[in-house]
Amino acid sequence: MKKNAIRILALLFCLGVAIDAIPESYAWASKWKAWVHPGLRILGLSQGDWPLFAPNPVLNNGVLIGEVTDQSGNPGTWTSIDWQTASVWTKFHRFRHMNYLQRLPYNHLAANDFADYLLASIPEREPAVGSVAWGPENQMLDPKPLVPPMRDIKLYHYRNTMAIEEGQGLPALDQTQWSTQIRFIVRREANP
Amino acid sequence: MIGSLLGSMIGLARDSLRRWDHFLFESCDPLLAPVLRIGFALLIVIQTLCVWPDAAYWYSDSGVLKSQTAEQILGPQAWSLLHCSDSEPWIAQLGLLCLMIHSGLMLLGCYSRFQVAAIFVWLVSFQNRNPLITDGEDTVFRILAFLLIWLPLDAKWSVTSLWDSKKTHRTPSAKDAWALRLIQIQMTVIYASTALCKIEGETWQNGSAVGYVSRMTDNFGRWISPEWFDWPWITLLATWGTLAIEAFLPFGLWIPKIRWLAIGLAALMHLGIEASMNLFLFQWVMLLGLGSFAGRSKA
Repeated sequence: MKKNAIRILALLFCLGVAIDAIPESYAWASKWKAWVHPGLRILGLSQGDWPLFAPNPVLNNGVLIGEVTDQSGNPGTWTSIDWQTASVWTKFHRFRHMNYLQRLPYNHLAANDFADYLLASIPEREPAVGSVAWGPENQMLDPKPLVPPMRDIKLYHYRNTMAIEEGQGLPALDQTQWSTQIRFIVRREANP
Repeated sequence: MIGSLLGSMIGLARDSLRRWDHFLFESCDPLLAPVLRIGFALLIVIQTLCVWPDAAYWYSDSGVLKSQTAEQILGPQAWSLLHCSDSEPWIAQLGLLCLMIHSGLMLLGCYSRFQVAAIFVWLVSFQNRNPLITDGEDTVFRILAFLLIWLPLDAKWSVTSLWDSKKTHRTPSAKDAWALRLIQIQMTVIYASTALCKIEGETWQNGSAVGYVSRMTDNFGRWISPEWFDWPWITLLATWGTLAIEAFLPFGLWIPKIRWLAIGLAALMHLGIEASMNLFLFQWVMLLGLGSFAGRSKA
């Protein structure tokens, strides 16, 4: 009885993981995958395919920027970790932050929650700096310290992409041209 | 005619079953289980310690992702103990504390099969509570936890084996180690899947993929400088070398004569990635899974 149960469990496991891990690009397997994956997810055994920088590595260099307005109307800026300058130790113990910030710009639901979190956390838990403002006669005003709670926030993704001419291979590091694309993610206002 | 056909089919089925039984119950080294137990528990302890300061940030409603949003993102099949309760910071901390205690007891070899079953439940719960911070490494941890439940983890170097009197302590045999085969299959599936995914990519075909990876300012940059990849031959070697090894492993790991070569190449690849990239514990959990091939398994 026990041996039979193991035989069947092992066979089902092998079939399940083999089907679940077929690459998404194999259209013929999509029906099988759609059938197997939800079942495995209930069991806590789902995995999907394993791209690991495939089919092509995606350069996701950049930072998230939050433009906030405090209760007095003063503007401020919150910036996510700049991984380019972070130490190896920071990249190790804050690895989850790296995953999170890479995915956040592409997940609207999560971005809403994150913007709400920043509204409630700036400046105590999430440091932000006051930004330069402009006066009624267009004169530059010095930044003022932010006073909580924040009134609203606009979240942007500043993404650095490599400028490569068509037909050109990967340029040397010191000759690489980077261009920054700014993408608006979400705007949130504080709940009254 | 029909009788002989039926007879040969029954014979084939019996033969297949006999081979399947040999594969599962007669050919694995059960002493690998305690080694996997110690390695796995250590990695879970490290992982939990790193996430501990951010427990409320990642896993409570006062953090960055509300419980309801996580449920919306993953759908109804993704269960979590953390969805069942108020999403307060102390609940997340309590869950991590439980995870830490279970992994500590597993490390000591104290009823490790129970401990790893609990670890599996907590891993699923935390991963489903915040899917935005997880990656392939967490999937490997989760599936290994499930498979370790079925192994004689306390056979050696454990508190349980010290407690047990000689009469009750039974030395595990190959038939107790069938789940090692499932770990081996899981590892094979990972290498096969990633090789199939990569082989379709233009940059993997033309040998430039690792060059692009080296320009990732977040993940890349440890002891191997991205400037090394200014030399095209290094980029070519790293790209095609990775692809060749990953395509070779699903076969090489199963051929006894070249198994150690396959394990060596895989270890070299993982250590090379570890030296160049910041991928937390991914390479270490893969090396641990690879260890399931290292015993005195029969063909």
